[in-house]
Parts: sequence; C-alpha cells; structure tokens
Amino acid sequence: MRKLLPYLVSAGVIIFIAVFAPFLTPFDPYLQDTENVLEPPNFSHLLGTDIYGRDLFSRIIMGAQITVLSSLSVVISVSVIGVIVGAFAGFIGGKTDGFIMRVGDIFLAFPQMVFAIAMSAVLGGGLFNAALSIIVIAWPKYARIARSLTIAVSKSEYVAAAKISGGTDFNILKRHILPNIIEPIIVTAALDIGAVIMGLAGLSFLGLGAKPPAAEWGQMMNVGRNYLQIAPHIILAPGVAIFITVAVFNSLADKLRDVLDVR
Amino acid sequence: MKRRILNRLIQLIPIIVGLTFITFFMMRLSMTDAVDMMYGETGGASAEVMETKRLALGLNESFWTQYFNWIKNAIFLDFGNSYISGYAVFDTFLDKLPKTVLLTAVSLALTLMVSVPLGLIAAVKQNGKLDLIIRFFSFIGNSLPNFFVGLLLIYFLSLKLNLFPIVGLSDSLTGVILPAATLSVAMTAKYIRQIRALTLSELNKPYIIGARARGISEFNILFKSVLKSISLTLITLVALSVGSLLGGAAIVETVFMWDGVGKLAVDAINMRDYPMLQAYVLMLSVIYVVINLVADILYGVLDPRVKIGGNL
Repeated sequence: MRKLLPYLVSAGVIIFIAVFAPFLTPFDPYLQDTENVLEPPNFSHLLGTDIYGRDLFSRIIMGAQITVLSSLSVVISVSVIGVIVGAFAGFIGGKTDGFIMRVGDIFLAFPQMVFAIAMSAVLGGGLFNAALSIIVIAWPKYARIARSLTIAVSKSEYVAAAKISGGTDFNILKRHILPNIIEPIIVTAALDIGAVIMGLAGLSFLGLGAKPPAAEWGQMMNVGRNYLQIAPHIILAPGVAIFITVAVFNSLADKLRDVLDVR
Repeated sequence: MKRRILNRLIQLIPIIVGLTFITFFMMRLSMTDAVDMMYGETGGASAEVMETKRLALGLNESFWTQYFNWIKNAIFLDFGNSYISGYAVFDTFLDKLPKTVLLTAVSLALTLMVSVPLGLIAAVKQNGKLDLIIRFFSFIGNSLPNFFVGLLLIYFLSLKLNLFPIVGLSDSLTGVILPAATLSVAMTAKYIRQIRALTLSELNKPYIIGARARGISEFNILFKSVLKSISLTLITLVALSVGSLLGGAAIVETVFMWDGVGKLAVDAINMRDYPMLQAYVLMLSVIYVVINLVADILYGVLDPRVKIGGNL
C-alpha cells in the first residue's frame, strides 16, 4: 500500500482540481477579451490566451472537470455494466449465458474507435453521446472477465456451502462472488482510464464530443490546430494536460496491478 | 488443418451477420432519413413530395424489411449511394482504401522495426540503465494521444524545420512518413512492453539454460530461439492492433489531410452522408475480423503444437 501512495496522491490532485475547478480558475474560462487575443504565455495569463482572448490556464483547469470527470464516469459505468452482465451470465450459465456472450463477441469484433466515431456521429455528437458510444462498445471486455472469474469462483467450496445453507442467488452473487472478482476488475478499469481519456478527447478533437465553447481539452485542440503556426501554445497547453493526466492514471494503474498482483 | 479452417470460417458467419445488424441498427438511431437529407438542405419540397419519395425508397417499410433489403444488396457489395455525390459508396470506399492500407502498413512496419530490437534489448538488460531508458520512453509514448503527436510533428518537422510537406501529398513517399510515425508512437510503446515481457518469460524457460550450457552464443539464443517463439504471439498482437490502427487512422488522416477511408468517414460525418459512414463501419469491421481470422489460422499453421493437436 505504501508503494501506491505517491501515485494515489497525484491522481487525487488531478481529481481535486477536476472537482473544484470552478473555484480554482484565476479568470472566467468563458470570458472573451478581444483586446488580448492569441497572447503567448505571460505573467497575467500563465498559458496565454486563445483566439477569443480567453485565459488558457483557466480553460485547462475547467477542462480537467469536463475531461477527467466524464472519463471517470465512463470507466465506472462500463465496468459496473460489464460486471453485472458478465457475473449474471457466468452464474446463470446455459443458453442465456451463451446468448449474452455471443452478443458481446459481436461488439468485440468492431474496431472500438471506428464504432465510437460512427455512433457518436449518428447520435449528433456532444459529450454525453460520445461517452455513451464508448460505453456501448466497451462493456463486453468487462463482461468477459467478470464471467470467467464468476465461473471459477462458482465452483469453489464456499459458494457450494452457501447454496446448501439456503442462500438465494442474489445473495450469493452479492456476498460471495462479487467481492472475490472485484480486484481484477478494478485493475482493468484503472488501466482503461487513460485510454478512455484519450478516446473521449479524440472524439472531441474530431468535433464529435464536447462542443464549443466548452473548455474540453480535445475540443480546444481541434480549434487550436488552425492556429498551429502563429499560436502553438493553444494546442500545447491542452495536449500537455491530456498527456500528464493520462500518464498519472496509467502509472497508478501499473502500480495497482503490481500491488494487487493481477495478471 | 483444413477442418479447423473450415470451422473458423463457419464461426465467422454469425459474427458478420451480427456486425451488419448492429451497424444497420446504429444508423437508424439518427433523427434524419435519406429523404430529409435530399430535400432538407434546399427546404423546397412539400411534405407530399417527401412522402412519395419515402415510399419509393422503401423507408415506410418495417425495420426488418428494410434490414433484409439492405442485406440483400450488401451481399453483392451494394451499400447504396452517397447522399452527397450520388455515387455508389462502395466504389468510393474502395477508391480510398489503398491509401489507408499504405498508411497502416507503413506504421506497422515502423512499429516492428523499432519495438522488436528495443524490446529485446530491454529484456536482456533487465533493470539496467538501457532498460530504464527504453521503459521510460515507452511509458511516455503510451500516454500521448495520437492527434497531439501528429500536431507536434507537423509543428516541429514541417513548420519549423521544413523537413516534410505540411499536409497531404498523399502520393509521395515523404507524405506517408509523418502520419505513419504518428500512428506508430503509441503502438511502439505498447509493443516494447509486450515484447520485453514475452522475452523475459521466454528467457526463464529451461531450454534456454540448456542452450547456454551447450555453449550457444547469446546472440543466437536471442535471435534464433527467443525471437522465433515470441514471433507467434506477435502475429496475434499485430492482428489485434489493426483495430486500434484503423480507428487511429480516422484521426491521424484528418490531422494530415491524408486521403484515406478515415478522412472519408470524417468528411461523411460532417456532411451527414450516412450510407458512406455505414459502409465505412461495416467494411472496416469485416476487414478487422478477417485479418484476425487469418492470424488465427496462421498461428495454427506455424505453431507445431496447434498443428499436431488439431483442435485447440
């Protein structure tokens, strides 16, 4: 646990910034200031300003809220849905299990990002639809893991004992199976946080996620790429923000896997 | 062996049917249909005209009838016509496909050229300085989104140093290098990790000790025995990463104005050309599934254990 601490703290700092973003911004992230557009980083605007003169530092902090919190909710939803479906399928077995897993196989056969791009486009874009399309394509991975773990745990003696002593299915799932399959799921989810952040930002970069004027990092880079030559700081700031955030969550996930010894 | 391949091909059928169903269903989630698209922009057509057109196109039929009609045509590779250009979407797709194939092939080649030697070195020098440096860079590469890498490369190599054309030039060989390099950064990072881990576990196997005891040089052990046995796993790895490559290509092609199917799809999205998008999703998924099938069969052919064992 000690080894995890620095990683937990750095992830905690990012989550803190994300949650309290509105109180941490030095300027209003949406306030336009036509007299100070495209300013390079300086003492008043630490990361400079964008084409509308909005303070980039404030927008990066605000963006932490949009990008990080939505990515975390995607990862949590995907893993919860996947675990419920997978544990149910594994526990119940038979035809229902077969059907659920075949449906999952079909979703796994799509290239993830291709599916997410198309689905969020058809739904008309927006952060919610982008998040939804990632959830729709990503659940089978968790369902598979949860299912195989559930099947393994179901064969154990304590589950047999619980069945003999008259435990209901729901209770056995909740009290005996879930607690025993949760660690690998947590590690998988942690490893996915970085990928989901990049996926959501990528969709916003294509104009399929958060819409202007939202201070979402991918969206900011989408706007900024038109000014690459004259004002590279516009894409540099959100790019580095994504990089640091993903790096922090990736290293936390790596350590978590080592500590929990999940393979 | 033949039986195994046949079995795999049969297993492929329900998957592909499922792909068509989900793709078709997904496209129906849109609030606009073909008729809205045809007349919506001009705004001129009366409700009556639009209704007649809907009848003519079969859009008033039930979901299942529409699906089966679509499937019937799709079997003959007719995915309908583009809302925008009016041309058959499949022809347009085929037209752009070689560009994307070139892009993904070059980035795969780049990835393997860099990650195989680096992964092997990192494993051999486990916990040494070189290993730490290689792992550090692979960690960084793994945390960089591809669109950021692409923009950085354009900024430094094209705008500042003038080494590469800024965008496009889809036909020149220099044109493919930057987008391919962009796509391979994250992949190289992942491959290095995998190859390092695979090599480490291989080096711990008893036959390696045996080879060392017989005085076989480390070089031969590494490049003849270890590389041979991990290359099997590499085949699976490469086939699986085609999925993320194709997804990444949509973003990278847009950044570099590379005229492949990914940019085609993003353009289709901006113009709400849903038949085009539908063909893109379905074709790429089928390509992905088939590549993985081929890798699976190849694995069987190359691995004597699977070959002799028959059913694995």
